Amino acid sequence: MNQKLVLNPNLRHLLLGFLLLIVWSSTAEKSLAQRFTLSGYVKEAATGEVLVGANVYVKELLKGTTTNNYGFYSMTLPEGNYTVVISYIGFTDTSRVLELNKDIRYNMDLKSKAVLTQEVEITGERADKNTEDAQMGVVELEMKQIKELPAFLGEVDLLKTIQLLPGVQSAGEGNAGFYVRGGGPDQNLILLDEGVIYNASHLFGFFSVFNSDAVKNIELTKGGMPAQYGGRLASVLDVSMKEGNNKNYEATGGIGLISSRLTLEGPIKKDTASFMISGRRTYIDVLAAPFIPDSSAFSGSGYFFYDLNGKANWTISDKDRLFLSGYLGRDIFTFSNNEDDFKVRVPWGNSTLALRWNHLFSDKLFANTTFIYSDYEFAFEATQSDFDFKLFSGIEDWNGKVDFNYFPSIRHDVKFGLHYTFHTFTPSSVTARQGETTFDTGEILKQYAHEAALYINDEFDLTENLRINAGVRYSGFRQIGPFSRFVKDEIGTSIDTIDYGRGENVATYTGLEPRLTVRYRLNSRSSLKAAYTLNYQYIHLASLSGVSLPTDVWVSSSDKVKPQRGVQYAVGYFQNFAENRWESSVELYYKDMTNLVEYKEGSLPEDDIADNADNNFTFGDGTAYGAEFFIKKRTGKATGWIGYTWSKTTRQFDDINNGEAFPARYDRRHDLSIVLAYQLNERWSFGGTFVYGTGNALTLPVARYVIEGRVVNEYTDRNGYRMIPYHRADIAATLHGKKGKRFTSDWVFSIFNIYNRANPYFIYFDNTGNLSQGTLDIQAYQVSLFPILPSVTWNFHLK
Amino acid sequence: MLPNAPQSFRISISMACLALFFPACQESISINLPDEETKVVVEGYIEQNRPPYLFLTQTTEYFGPTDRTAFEDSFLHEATITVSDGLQTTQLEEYCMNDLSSLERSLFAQATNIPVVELRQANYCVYSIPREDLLNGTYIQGKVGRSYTLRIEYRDEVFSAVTTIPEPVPLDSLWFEVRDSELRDGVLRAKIIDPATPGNHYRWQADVIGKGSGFVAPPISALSDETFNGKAFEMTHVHGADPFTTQDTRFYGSGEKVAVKFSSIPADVYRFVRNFENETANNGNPFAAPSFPVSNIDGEGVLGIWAGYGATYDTILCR
Repeated sequence: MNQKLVLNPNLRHLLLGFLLLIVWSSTAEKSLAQRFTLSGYVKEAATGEVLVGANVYVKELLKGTTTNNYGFYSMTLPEGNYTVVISYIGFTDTSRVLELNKDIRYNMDLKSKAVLTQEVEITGERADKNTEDAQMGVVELEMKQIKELPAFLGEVDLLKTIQLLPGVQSAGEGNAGFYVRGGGPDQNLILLDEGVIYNASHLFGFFSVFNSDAVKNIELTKGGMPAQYGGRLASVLDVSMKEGNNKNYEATGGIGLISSRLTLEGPIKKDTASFMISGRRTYIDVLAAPFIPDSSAFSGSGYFFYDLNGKANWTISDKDRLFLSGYLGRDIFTFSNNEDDFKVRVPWGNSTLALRWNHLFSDKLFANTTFIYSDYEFAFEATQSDFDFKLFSGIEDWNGKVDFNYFPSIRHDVKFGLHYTFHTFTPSSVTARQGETTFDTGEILKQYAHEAALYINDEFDLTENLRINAGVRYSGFRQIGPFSRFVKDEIGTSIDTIDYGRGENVATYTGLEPRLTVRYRLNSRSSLKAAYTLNYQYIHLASLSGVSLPTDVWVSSSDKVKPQRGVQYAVGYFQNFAENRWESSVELYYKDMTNLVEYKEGSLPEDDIADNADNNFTFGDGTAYGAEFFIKKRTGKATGWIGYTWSKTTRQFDDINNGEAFPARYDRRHDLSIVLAYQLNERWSFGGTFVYGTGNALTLPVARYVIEGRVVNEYTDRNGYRMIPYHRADIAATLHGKKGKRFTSDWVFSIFNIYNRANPYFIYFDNTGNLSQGTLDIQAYQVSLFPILPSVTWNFHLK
Repeated sequence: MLPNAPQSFRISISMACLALFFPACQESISINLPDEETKVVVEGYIEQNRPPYLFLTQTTEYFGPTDRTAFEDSFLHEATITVSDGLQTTQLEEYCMNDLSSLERSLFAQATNIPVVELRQANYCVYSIPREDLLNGTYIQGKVGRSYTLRIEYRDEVFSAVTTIPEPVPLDSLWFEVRDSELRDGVLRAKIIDPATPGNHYRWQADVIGKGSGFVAPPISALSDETFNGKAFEMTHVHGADPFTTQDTRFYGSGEKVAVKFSSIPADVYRFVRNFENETANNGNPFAAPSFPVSNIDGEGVLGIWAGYGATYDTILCR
């Protein structure tokens, strides 16, 4: 990585070799008989929703492919008669004999399995995906499964469910974000219909922004990130919204303890165009309002959040399809203390709008062109008497990309494309007014940047047993003016300002990111895999707080902040049992990260005001390694999984902790999750989860001293103390209502924290009394948030 | 100081949010903290027209004894301490309050501005100008614009620090504003005209005359001119909780007479004070990272501050 483009000679050879390999292996089959292409879309018969990852298998060749993110597949085969089997878990297999003597477009509608034989499925993937795919560290989850599991206060939350997977951790309730293989919460790329979501949490992480009724598909990539993804070091969470039933109108909804949901979907034009619109709002504020009398000092205080998801799609022709999807979510907190004439309003949230165009250039070349607007903003507005204070921070992206999927032969799945984003960062903008005086707080501190990437990726069989997923991504980033750099002396006083004009180059970085995953099949039930990935991350989230908060600011790479760089090595052994009903894996990973960002020790919250946020940063490195064990029962009346992770992750910053390495905030030695689902009969199903994790690392005072008569804490090594372990079990029971012709409903009863474990949310120290009089009292307290909490939710479906 | 308010607002919001909507429970726990080596703590001041003085203490175990003996035991004795202004070097003398006559004690209180009530409270030990000088009134005094080098030899360690007394900036005006006419209390407001040069830092302390608590800082007492350089600036202050009496006297009562000490302080002292204030205000708040009052004392295993104050004084009758 350099200011200038310098290709490492090794990487250049790698790139060249890789391109040659694609050309060679795709021409190697040319000598065979005449070849034709079989392609098409796989959809759900009842709703017209495309099925992602459906298995398309050619019996005679013992070969197959899967549908891509838009439900499209393509296979180029020698002329002949073939039996094509299309399967997707939860749906009835469909097979058809085709005479392939020309290019054939074969679209398939799959029917749901009959109700009586329907079983709870863990995922919608094909049976041997675990051992067959070259990719590793990829997990797909199905909303249906997630909905059967216990949910906190009845709010089904896919972020909570992915935290039950090995290698993915939560920091406990009340902490936003998730942590993948030792990476920070900003190192996850979270996509909702390809739009970036910068803060996926409501209410400090108690709920996620994903409304379960609006979501169709979830895929998490925690290692071996393919080249079509980039810009983050740790993981990609790719969430797709439902497209909307293009045959019939439907309404889905639910009423829960703290929120309600309603989703409407249906055809705009039957079989051609459909829409889906979904909303959710919490009503704690509404419920609490009657209990806060108008005379109360705090009347007018409250909190709520809402989400709106909307999507429309239009099949213009057999070759063209348009999608328009959007998301808007807001948390709004108001606080008012009438006695002090003090009012605060704090809104924050994400919005995205994406327009996508699928186009088939040929039966072998699928293209998706996307334009996305995405935005995250946080505002804080306070007034007291004649003093007004407004703080705003956020990030806004204009994003355009073209992605191609090329299927030259049945052995290849080639992806290539070009991504471009224009970022506008507002790390912190403050306006303040007191009486007649307006404060100069530096409105001009926005950062503007171009980010672009070019990639190519191919998954192909080199030999019968050796499958390779290889790719390379070339990314670049340029911060441009207008921008003002405040030059500070060592104690933080401005001594100079460097001004950059509009469009002027502030800093430019480029990097080549090779990605390689190799699968070697040992036999039909087991395989070995290995992965190497190199990623650059050009945007950074800086947090002054001990936990992730919506106040954390996103900042650009700049003349001061270099891109983060992460290299991950992983190896794994994958084994399926009992005709793929059980699958298991062991994965080991090692990760090396450089140019990580933290605030300097002694930074003050007001330091961001009227200053470049990155003037207060310090830079360091990180290391993470671990072992993940996973065993899963995929089908049957009882399904579920056990995941266990042993891991260690440390950080080293020259200016923090006296330069000594310290455990990352989310370093967790042991992490265990047990997930069970059981379908008793047509009416009743049950779910249960158990989690155990090493206590969070935190910095505690070890000594105290006195300044100006007040007790000041002197801290241990950074994150040198551990809270007690976190563990908790939750259960849920779902009573499915009788299936009516048009109306069905179910009741979900769940109990959170069934054995009432007092898990520490935080530990704090309180001192009262007078030191010089000898009446000082020092106590440590542990605060736990949630005792045993039962909840009930009623869901309905109307069609 | 209101422009500094966002952090405290954010904290109160986070806390209020949790308190409002979730049934949190809290229990007292015992924690085994690792043994740390004790560190030396310096709290030293020099103000124009006043003698330097300094408390030399040590850190104590977090859950160590909290009685008065323990407090008095935290003072470190027999250090060799000098203060130099570059022309003249004075060796400070150590004395503990119990060894002073009441005249000496009140002279010391006058010279340093530490309330005599407080000095009677416990056996404070302090390093300052020699006792004879105190009686004669011929001690070295701080001068505006001058730098002072502190040198401490304690056991085998040597610590040193330099501070400057910045040019004082007097309050342009000072007034009392009634908050609640029934409760007859309010806040003090003041206006300053900030000099055109950037990098001014200030500290507000106030003493309700007759309460004997001395000059007490409100929860946020230090400010930087970063956002109002060269402009007029109005500030609002409540009376801080008095650490010595532990009374939470947030607002000034009507009829109270208040002495206000408004000082210019060096940038490193400002950063120390703000971190110190943050730390005492946060007191375990999970939403805040620990604050590290960064010491300006050089040496191994030392904490604290050597602070020059360019002070101005005003008095106001609250009405």
